[in-house]
Amino acid sequence: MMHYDEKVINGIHTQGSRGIVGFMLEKLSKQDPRIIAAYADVGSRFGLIQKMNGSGLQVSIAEQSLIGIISGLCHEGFIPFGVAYAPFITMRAADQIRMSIGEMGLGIKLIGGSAGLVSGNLGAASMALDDIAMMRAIPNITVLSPADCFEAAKMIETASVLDGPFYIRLTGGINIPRIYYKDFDYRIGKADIVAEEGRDVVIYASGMQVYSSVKAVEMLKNDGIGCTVVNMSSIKPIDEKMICSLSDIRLAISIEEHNVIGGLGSAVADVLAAHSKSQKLVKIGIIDEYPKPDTYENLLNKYGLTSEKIYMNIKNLLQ
Amino acid sequence: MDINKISDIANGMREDIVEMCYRLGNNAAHLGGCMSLVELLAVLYYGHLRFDINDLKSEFRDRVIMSKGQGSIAMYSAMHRVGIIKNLSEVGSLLGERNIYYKQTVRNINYGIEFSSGSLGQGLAYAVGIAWALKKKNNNTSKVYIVLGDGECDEGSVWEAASLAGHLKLDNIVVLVDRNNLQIDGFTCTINRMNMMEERWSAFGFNAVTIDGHNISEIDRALSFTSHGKPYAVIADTIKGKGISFAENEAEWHQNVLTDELYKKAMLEIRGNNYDAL
Repeated sequence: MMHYDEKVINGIHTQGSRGIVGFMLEKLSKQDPRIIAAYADVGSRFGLIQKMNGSGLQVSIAEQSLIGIISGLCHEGFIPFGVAYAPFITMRAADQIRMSIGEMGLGIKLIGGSAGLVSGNLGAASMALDDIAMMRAIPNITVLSPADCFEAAKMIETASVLDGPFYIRLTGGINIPRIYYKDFDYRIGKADIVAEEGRDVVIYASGMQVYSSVKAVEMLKNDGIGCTVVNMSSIKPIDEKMICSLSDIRLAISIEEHNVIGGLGSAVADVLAAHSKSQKLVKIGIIDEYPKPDTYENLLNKYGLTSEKIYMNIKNLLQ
Repeated sequence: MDINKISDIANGMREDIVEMCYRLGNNAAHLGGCMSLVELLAVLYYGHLRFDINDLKSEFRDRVIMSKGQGSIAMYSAMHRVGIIKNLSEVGSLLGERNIYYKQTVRNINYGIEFSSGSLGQGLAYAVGIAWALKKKNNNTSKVYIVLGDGECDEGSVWEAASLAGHLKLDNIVVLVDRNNLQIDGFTCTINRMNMMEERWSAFGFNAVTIDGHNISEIDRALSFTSHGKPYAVIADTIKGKGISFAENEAEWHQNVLTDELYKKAMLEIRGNNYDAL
């Protein structure tokens, strides 16, 4: 197990959403030589070419091959991580993933960078807004989206020691605000309450939207509105117990950089429905469309995913 | 290499295939694409494949990837004839929760099935991963044999992986292309003309050779070749439905139902009897 002291944690927080991948896989592969990082012409972007040496495998711009190759590595007893940008490692290679993880049950680990809106200036082609929906429907898989670099580090480490298949969805860019300052006990399937200011509203968020939600809740607090923010970094399995325990709050909101169809909000709605909870749930995210190219900031603003917009939205909903 | 022995195995495999296809009843079976593979797999399994019958997971076994899932039943027939499958009854109905063998392979390494097939074009990338892993493990003994259909080569993912296999100089990969010239909608030349197949594989960095895929000594010679520094591709010219008059070169026998009558006819033909003369 990695030891996370203050210095290490501070170092982790400077890595950014992609750099953290190379940072962790280098350390983990030195501990366990079965760990291999295969990447589809994005090795330099994730710090893998610089750090992985003999434990890295360049597969070229070929995400379908990437999944097939890491599946073959897994078949031979390695612990392979496949790394690419989120839309390409999920949708482009969906059939390979379906067969490898769903059918063969292979424990491959997938890391999708730049998920959500962060690559918005490149257009919808480069945005992953449907990856959760697609991956969540694959049997056996664990789908995670970290709230900050430290949680990402914990997830990568956990994926490397557990047998099963993983999809780790990384949102945000180089500057990732902190949610977690100290070492903590990370558990898959466990949601985490990161702000507890009252029970007027409960916010379910994942990825970068956890931070935006926490900031919005601080503003709402000044207006006398008490909110609870839950980091839903484990999207599958989902923390049903947590969702049920907060279902007596009159308004629930899900916030995600994903289509409101099939994402975190849908996963929360599944739980509420299965347990006959009548809690109102408002899903904030991309409203079933592919955006035109724009900056990350403009797109977040457009879909109500900034702390100011979340604040306004909740104020309006409560009126 | 004992040609008569292999020839007997091939005949036995054809009987096995008809038997297994018949068991599928109205669910239909891939009779055509299994029959085209018989000699290729007979020579591979009997003459070349490294396996330990008592330890099918042995590290130093050769890996067989049936990428062309429609050839799965032919693979079981070869496994039966070399004793990996002791009795054809183990294959069962090829359906249901409790089976091991299905009409398209379902990965089960305890039984020598390395890969789940059925979604065409995925086996070669998987083979590249295995081949790279073997080298990483310093296993210079095992080879990775992968069976592709010529129709399957329509899939772009085949060439994506082929290019990388060549680039990485994975000389432990042996690609076997079953060129039976037929796919569901008809002759491959009318659907997507894959001319210059040997040159294509060469261009992707393979040593490539074209052979008669029903000629036992030609197959044996091709499989005896050891490729150094390059993966190896054997393009085997075959006949879909080979050995069964009503199925030979008939696209409808890609997957079809063996009725009681056709089952008898097929068995009689394989055993050298003319059904019409009876």
